[in-house]
Amino acid sequence: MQLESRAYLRTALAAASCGLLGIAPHAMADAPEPLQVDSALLYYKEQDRVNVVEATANIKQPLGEGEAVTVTPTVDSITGASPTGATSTDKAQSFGTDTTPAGKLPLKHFMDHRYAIGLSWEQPLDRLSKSVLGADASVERDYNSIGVNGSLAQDFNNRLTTLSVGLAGSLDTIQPSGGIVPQGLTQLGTSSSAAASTPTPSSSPVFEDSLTAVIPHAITTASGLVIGGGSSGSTTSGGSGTTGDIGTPRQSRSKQVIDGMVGLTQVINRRTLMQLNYSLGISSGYLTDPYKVLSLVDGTTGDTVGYITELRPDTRLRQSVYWQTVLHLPEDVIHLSYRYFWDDWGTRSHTVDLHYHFDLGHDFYLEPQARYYTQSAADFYHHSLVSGAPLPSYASADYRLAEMSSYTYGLKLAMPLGKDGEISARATYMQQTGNSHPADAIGVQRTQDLYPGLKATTVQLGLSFKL
Amino acid sequence: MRILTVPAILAALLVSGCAEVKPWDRDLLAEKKMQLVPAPVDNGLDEHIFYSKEAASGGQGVGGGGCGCN
Amino acid sequence: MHCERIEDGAYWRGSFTAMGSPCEILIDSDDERLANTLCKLVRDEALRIEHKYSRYRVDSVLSLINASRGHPVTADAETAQLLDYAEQCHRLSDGKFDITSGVLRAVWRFDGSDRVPEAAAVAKVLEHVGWHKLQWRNPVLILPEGMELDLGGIGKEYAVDRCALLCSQTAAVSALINFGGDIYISGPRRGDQTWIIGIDDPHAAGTTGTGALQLRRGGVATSGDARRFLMKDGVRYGHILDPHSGWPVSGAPRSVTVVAQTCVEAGMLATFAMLQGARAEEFLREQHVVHRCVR
Repeated sequence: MQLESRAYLRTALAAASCGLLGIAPHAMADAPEPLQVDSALLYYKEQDRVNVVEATANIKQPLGEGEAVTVTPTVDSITGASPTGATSTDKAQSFGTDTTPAGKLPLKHFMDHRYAIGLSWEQPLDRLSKSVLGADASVERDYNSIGVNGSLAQDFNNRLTTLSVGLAGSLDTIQPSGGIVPQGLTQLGTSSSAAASTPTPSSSPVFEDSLTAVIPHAITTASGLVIGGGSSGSTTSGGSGTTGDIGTPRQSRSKQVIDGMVGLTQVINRRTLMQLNYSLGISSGYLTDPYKVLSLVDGTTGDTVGYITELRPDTRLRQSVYWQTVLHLPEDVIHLSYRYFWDDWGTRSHTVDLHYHFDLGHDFYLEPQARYYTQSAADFYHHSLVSGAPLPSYASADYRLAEMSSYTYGLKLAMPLGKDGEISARATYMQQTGNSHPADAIGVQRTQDLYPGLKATTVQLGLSFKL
Repeated sequence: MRILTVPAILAALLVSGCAEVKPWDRDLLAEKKMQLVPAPVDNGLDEHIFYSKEAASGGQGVGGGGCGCN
Repeated sequence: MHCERIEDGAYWRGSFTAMGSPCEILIDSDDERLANTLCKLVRDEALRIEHKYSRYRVDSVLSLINASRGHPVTADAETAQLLDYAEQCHRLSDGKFDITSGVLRAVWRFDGSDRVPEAAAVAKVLEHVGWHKLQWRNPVLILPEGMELDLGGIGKEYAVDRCALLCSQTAAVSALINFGGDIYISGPRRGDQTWIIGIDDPHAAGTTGTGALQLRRGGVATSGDARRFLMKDGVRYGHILDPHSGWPVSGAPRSVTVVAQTCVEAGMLATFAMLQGARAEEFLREQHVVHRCVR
């Protein structure tokens, strides 16, 4: 026995029920769920180095019954100067058009814009599980990335336990701005054919001369040879020093990354939630920074006699264990997390992060945060190499692979905006320090700060609302 | 691997040593400030900064896009 | 009537007993005087409806109708509305929902035993079941002798919605009214927060429920037979009776919970679902309602 035609039944019953109570029935369709927008504008400034302005928004449209689509566009503009990997020395150094005074860390100026977009679709599979599928893409002048990701979350134990599994893959392409991908561990000022395991010092030290700008994004029509090579594109040699012939395609390299994660979230009691994740990632392909070099120093005096391009392994296996607790005090909430990270480049790091959410009432809150980070150096990290000594298989002086510690402090203030919105302001200060005077510094190097560290501040404005 | 015994123990403790939480006691857990990531935009911006300045990355999730900053 | 402040949840709670169930009202406010006013309002209205439509009171309007022995009765406005509603539901359910089926109570006693009645006994009582056997033309009702009306399938939900209406007319606060599992929430809590309702697992009463509903507004009703059933020869007989056959609907879920715009609508959808027996879940999916079935 069929009940009356389906749609009609619900409408009729709703109308009858409302009639009984003397109230007006709502329109039959559930009220459309509103669009949620969370946006932010960030200004990041490193002391004497890089400035970034970044704008991003997280735009989520619920589609009913737990399903939702989210779009996340991001635009950022980066200007300033980044360390080249060369260390400071007691004489001026120049790289192309940049000149670094004595005693200062050599930096390279650059400017870039990055445009990125992320897309994600979340869908409950049944009452106790849900899946998320996503894709993202990012373009900047010398780097493109596309990726996909997916995850599954399953509730157990009366929804007190959730098991999540996630997988992501991405394909990145690097096209250094000079058009050339330099040969790794090759001394600047030598031709590719002469790249040997024991580089001879270039004829003139680099102090006053405008050096052949082999750092690709600084290539000019300077004298000297251009480092070329690599599987794509032709090798240029000779004195014209142009960025390859007009018509030669820009050289590029690619990198593939796969990441996986398994996580467990557990409700401990009414006030406490914990999460434990294990992640594994494999990167392969071109993992070197094409813009970075190491200083070659004289084994006795410690003077900088040349530069050599860096080279990193072409695979990297990363793992981490991450634990987070969220604890609800009578009014406030504490978020505390710890992450232990290790990889096959020899890096080990610890991260401790604490946020304290001060509930000021009526949806106002103040949230101070503190983060401590420390890492050990990658196996192939060297602050500089000794000229004439046998070259290691891999070497990099990138400050991000060195032994270093970092403290970050922040404060966020938020207030409600209208019925469903929020406006916030946040500022943070980050300071990185490392070993400025390592034991193996030679001669002149002892007078130099071989790890100047980093100080950065950020200011962020946030706006959330529903449409 | 020895390194995984501590997390494994933690995981076991996590699941076993927990109080009985009735569904109507999940009021606090439902609040926005109790979410594992209460402000995803802040979190994304921070992650991007730390990814660019440190050797380690990730831990909380997968995916999210790459950039040429490291 | 007991009205107290629940600090942990930041609301006032009034509790009392009515219609055979524990009743409570939760008020999302810090105002003690308002809470007391609303608690009293709700209790008074719940008791009024109980006294008017209770089968157990000889002086209730319902009992007077059931004792009318075929003489015409003029129903008051409220009773007339309820009878109109019962008639509409009877039609919409193809006759499965029938408020005259209460007399089957005489042969079916759902006490967990194995005393299933004889077919002949059921057939005899069935002679007095059937909405089409009475005459209802608003406001006059003629109920043949031997027949009875039973508003048990509508009464509690109706009381919940009526009390909620009175609360909204008195103050603009969010209130949750719960009469033994039939619930109405009048609006979101302060800060656009939801109320959280636990759903009991009928297989294991008293332990942690099968889930929680988070709701800002709407009615929730549960139709269930955790305690009212018969078990004979391995066959479980639920307490929802099919008025055409006089026998329990076969294949009905143990419990059905439905969320709808009002408690009355939720309750009726839950009842309709149970009447569908094995097709309960399919029926609820077709109606696009938020629901939970437990088998």
